Amino acid sequence: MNASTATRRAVLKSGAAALVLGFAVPATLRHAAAASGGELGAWLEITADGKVRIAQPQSEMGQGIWTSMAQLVAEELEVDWQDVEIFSPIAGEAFNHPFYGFQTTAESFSIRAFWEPARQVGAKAREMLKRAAAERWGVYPGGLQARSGTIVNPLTGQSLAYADLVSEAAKYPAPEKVTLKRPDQWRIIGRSVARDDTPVKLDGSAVYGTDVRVDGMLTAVPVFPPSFTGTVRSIDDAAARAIPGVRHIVSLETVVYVVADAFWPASRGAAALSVDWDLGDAADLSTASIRQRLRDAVAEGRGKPVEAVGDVDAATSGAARVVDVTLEAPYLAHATMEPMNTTAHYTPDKLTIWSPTQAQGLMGFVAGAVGLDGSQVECHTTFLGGGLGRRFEIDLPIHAARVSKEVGAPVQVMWTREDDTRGGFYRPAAAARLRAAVDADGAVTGFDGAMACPSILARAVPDLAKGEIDHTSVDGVAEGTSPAGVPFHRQYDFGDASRVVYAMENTAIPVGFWRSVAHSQNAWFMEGFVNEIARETNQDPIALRMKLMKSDRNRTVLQRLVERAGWGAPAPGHHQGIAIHEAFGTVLGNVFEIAVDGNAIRLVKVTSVADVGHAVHPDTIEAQMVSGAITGITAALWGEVTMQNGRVDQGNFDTYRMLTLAETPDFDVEILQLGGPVGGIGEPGTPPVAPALVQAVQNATGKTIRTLPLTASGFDLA
Amino acid sequence: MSISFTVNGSTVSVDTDPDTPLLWVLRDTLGLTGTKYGCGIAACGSCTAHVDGAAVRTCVLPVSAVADRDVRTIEGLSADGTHPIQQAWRDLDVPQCGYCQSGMIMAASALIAESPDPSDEEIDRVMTNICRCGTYPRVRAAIHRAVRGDA
Repeated sequence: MNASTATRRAVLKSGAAALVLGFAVPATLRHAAAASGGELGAWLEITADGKVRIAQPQSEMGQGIWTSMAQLVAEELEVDWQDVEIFSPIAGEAFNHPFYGFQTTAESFSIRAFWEPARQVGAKAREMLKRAAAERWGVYPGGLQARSGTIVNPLTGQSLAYADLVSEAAKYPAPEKVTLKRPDQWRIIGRSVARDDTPVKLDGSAVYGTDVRVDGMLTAVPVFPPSFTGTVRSIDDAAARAIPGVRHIVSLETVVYVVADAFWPASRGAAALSVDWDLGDAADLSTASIRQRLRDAVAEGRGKPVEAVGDVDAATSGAARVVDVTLEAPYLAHATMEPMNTTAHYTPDKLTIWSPTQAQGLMGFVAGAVGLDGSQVECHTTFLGGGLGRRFEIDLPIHAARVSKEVGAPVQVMWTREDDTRGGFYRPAAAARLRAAVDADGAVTGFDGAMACPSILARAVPDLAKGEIDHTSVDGVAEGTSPAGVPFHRQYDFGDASRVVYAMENTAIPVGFWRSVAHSQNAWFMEGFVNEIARETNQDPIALRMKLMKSDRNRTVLQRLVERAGWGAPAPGHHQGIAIHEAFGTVLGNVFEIAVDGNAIRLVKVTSVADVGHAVHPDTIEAQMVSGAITGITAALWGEVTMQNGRVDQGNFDTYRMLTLAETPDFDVEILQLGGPVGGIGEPGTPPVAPALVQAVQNATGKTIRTLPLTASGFDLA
Repeated sequence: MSISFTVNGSTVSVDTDPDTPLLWVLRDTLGLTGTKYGCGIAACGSCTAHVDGAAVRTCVLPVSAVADRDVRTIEGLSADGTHPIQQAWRDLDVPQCGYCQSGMIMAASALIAESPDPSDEEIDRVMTNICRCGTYPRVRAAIHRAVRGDA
């Protein structure tokens, strides 16, 4: 769905335009004669000395939205980029996501959702400033021009700086309709300006969640049960309380927090705490048994229908050949570089939260957990040391609020790396059995898919998992609309007959949104399947894709990728693999070039081509394509969370391996701007990695690989 | 027990358990939050600072080990962000989320102090800091740029 459609839906849903400037006169209106400068709604402030302060409400987790969003506003506002200052605002309704209706950063959906609304913020402010100048000069505003932070009357040469006009402009209602600039008029959009957050990330001054310091703050480190269903029976805290600096022990039933003056005594206290747990039903949980359950589900083809077109059984029974592929994927942890944390200060009238959160708009639920109302929450968003979807969850904000209420002081909840890795909300393990009916000419005449995995939405947003169908489980493989009304899509046309069933196999392991969500496993399934169709029917994998793709856009990206990567002509002794996927409004493909010696893989080069419609900040897009790929490489090689007897096996980076600089291949990246609706870039770099890398390994070794990670098939880096 | 050492050119005296890792003395006792916690087992390097000029992972270094020694953190690497590594990092917009970058910059600055024009092999061997965002290609390019200029 394109950004403007989504915006109209959000406007209709909320009954009010989400991003118009505030109509009310600011409470801090300065005396117009004595001073200049002021606010234009929640998004903009123009200071007396002409600095243009632009609010940036989306969570900055490395994807560069901090700078790119401000580029959208500044472009239409007609200011010089050097005068722009970007700030993180207190969360509020003025920053509701145009599609979701609450403030959040998710699904690579910031630029594409705010594409029109953010530009309208700048354009409307510009027109209000023009109107203020027009009134001051007694002329018709239509003849005035805005440029470089001033309003100019071209007929008289008079000009007024925005700082001198803003307090008047703020009194007007925002105009209903504004004309946005054409792409050929852009001076800021499309330019790789210096990233505004870079300087503070070079000198230690950037404030992440763990860096928040509040007067009187205590630090709380958790003690979790060795089971996802564990609850406290009793606590022996004598040893913990003996540690100097430990102040409180707070039980939240499913976790106990040791609260101390700082992290180090809190963590020593946590290590010394003795808890008798009732382990609950998940005491003997094992991922091996869950994986078998998923395998059985797809082998049996059980599940709810999510797609049903034509007569698939007739197509398969009448086919010259049926290609039948079963693929699997494991649980994955997020492993953001900054471990999980949130700071909260509860008082009976107000809850203040400082958090590296992706879900500002959900803090009303956190307020409810401590008996307060959503209107009583003040949420400050820090920089995020990585998000990857994990920081959409509000578990830590709730813990921090409850502990703060209990101890009567501000509290920073800080999880250790081990707590983070073992804390759940994983990318679900999944299985898929995909079958293609193929005729004598190699054309696909039918598609029969069975998918199985635990549902994220059944826990996270139950209303969206109606009918036991979770669109985040099937997107990328199936084509249709969920009972909750959310569309899902695949890029390939498999003929007149198609059927996909989905078995929602929920377990006690909490699952959540991981970078690229469904697409992280579904691109592996779909591209692995298409590569196998090509192999078994002796078709070229590129030619086959060109025939199957529904959209010329996808064909254009694939063609460019093939050219750029020198597909079909790797260096001597090297092998290539290819995959392409469509997700979050972007089409992105990878070619991996590798060398293999026995079971040892050397990653030589990755070529990556993407179409994003329009590129606001091309350098950021390049950086995100590399970033997404490295997340995908790490997962494809080693990524796996396993459990036995209710306990997670992995803990720190010694058991959950991360790619290093020495192991990173060369990257060659090309960005296409084919001019369609703008696409996201935070996540699309990840899905096409596993299938491209695995195809290269298969081509190099002749082995058949149907599960991830590659270490499960005996491979590793050289 | 009181332990004295210099941090970023100033002498400090801290009264804390001598086994407390330097990382937590820097962050919580001295309020220098630029040095980060990523793992606590010296695997990721987010906690890297300089002790007598050498890059050290402070999450496993007890504060007693720096008594009377010279500690430098990211905050003290330069007065105003003008260390050649910081300049190269700015020129190439190296950081993404940036959480690992304090440690990455401290490791890189120690590397080029020791080896003025490191080869790619040397960079591979020394720069073992983990970056989850995958800034590695730009880290490598920025180290070369810091020593060789705008090549």
